[in-house]
Amino acid sequence: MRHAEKEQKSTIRVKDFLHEILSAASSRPSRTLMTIAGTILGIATFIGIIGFTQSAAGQISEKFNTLEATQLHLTDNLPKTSQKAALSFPTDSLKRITALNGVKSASLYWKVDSDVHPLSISTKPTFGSQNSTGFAVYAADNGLFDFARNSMKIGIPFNSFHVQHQSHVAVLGEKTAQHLGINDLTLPHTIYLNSEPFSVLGILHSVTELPEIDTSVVIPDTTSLKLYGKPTATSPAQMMLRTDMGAARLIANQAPYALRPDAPQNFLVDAPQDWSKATRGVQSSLSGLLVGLAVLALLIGCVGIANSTLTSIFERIPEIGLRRALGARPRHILAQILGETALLGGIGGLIGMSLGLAAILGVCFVQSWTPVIDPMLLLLGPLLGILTGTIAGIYPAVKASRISPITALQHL
Amino acid sequence: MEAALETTKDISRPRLVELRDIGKQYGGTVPTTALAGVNLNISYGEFVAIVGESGSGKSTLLNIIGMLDTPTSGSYAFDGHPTETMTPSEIAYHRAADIGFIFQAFHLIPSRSALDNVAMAGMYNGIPLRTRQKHAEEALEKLGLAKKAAAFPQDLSGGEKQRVAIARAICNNPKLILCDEPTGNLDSQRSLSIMHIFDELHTEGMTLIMVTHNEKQTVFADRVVRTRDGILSEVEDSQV
Repeated sequence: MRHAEKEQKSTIRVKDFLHEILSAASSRPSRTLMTIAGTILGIATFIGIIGFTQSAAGQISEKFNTLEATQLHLTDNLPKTSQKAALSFPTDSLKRITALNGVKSASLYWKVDSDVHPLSISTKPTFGSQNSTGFAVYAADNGLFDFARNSMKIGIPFNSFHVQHQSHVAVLGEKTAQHLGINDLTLPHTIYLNSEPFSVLGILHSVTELPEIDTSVVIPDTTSLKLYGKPTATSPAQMMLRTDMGAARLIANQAPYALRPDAPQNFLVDAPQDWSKATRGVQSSLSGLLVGLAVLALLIGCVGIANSTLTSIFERIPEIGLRRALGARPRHILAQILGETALLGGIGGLIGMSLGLAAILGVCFVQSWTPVIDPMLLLLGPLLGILTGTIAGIYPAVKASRISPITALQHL
Repeated sequence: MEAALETTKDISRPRLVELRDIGKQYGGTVPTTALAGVNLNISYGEFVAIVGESGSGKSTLLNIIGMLDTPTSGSYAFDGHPTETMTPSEIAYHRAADIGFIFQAFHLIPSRSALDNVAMAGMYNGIPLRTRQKHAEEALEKLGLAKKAAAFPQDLSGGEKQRVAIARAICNNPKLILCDEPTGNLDSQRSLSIMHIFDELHTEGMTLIMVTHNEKQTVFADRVVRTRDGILSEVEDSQV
């Protein structure tokens, strides 16, 4: 017996198997491309969405981390119904707060209640009680200007001397200065809050932490206390703090006790949020919605491959019969069709991943974002494609493997 | 005639095909008998022609001999091994290693070159691609198609296509070649050319079984087996 020494089993070498599926995929390139078009779109969408979501979340956390996570506010917790003006912050608030480890700067400020003290802001003294519409008066200690150190447009801020001596000095917001017609301070300027004169020391650019300063006049808090009394429940005193990176949440817990160990409940703390949670929330909500769309696109791709493969199998029935005559078993036919669809899916995944990555880079370039791409995405695309192709190939492969060789050979 | 059939000149040779009381019925609402009580022995080196009308069961007989189909009754031994006891994998192995098929419709894969089509033989019994390609080149050269090795089926004439199919059938040096109406799609001149190739293979010692409805082609065979309504009605020595 010629083959007596060998195990008489029909078999195909792995190399030959790979050669066969590669030959099948490369023999009809246009058809191959049409077959995998759905998978390409699906994977490109999938990869694009994941990369886009990661990049977008990256921008969110970058923005929040650098500004919000280092800043917190304490507000005087006066009952809203109280008509009585009050100030829970002690006179040495700044000293107490800046003694905490991690506090970089702090400022106590409040808006002078225009309902209680209607103030007209003008370059001439006015008498009576009429508010300047759209403009406000803020009382603040000199710590405010630590937040606005680089925001002086012209002039200088008031300092601790002015605060200690209840000086009649003012710093104007940019829009207030424009409104009053004050463009430079080469010559001294005086403004009036009703009939009270204030020397203008400087003009501020907008302050990120206090955008309302733009349309305000800032005077020393001590001066305000003397002229207009304590802040009211409508416009309570607030303290703005800037901390070291990562210290804000800790300071938020400590600050009320540092200010008033006897009554920490007198302060409402606006602590920074945990933006990592927010980022994850954004990722999750975006991903949940868009990944659903991508999965739908993948399903369409899957159906595309399955449909095209079924059509192709009908055309290849004589070939299936020939392979059976040449010794192929049903499982060889099954493996061949599954191998072909998995390969098509893999090629689709590779192309789709490339397109998806290109789209992410394009969006990031246009938006001036830093692209955030998980390296696993580079594997995920082709793997997802292979999975899609394999799933798509199951039904056609089973169908092809069940074709009787005689029927197949008679099919012309 | 239902006795075991063989010519006297074959007695000294070992048997390759032994069919005993083979029957084949197809199911359905009205069961059809394709073959009934077929007894046939074919020895190594024989060239047997099976002739008969359409639907007489000759192709069914060829498919059973080629192990593409199984009989519903009787026993079949190939090269001394009962096929009833073979596993599907062993049967597939014998198809791959021991049997070469030649079809009326050639059955070449359009997207593969002549060489690649021929080199498919032996793929399913684990012969490495390089070896198969070498065998394919030799087979094509033997059939005068060395220069057409790179050509695709659509660029070949009918006769050339069938010669490529013959090359695929012989390149693995099988024990048996089965031809199902091999000249059915060819004109008389090309048919004759193909029959001469079979004759040459037979002279070299190859065992061939050919199904044909063309009586003239039986002159190339050692024996002629006639089928009628699923029964081997006649066996005779050909008048070579």
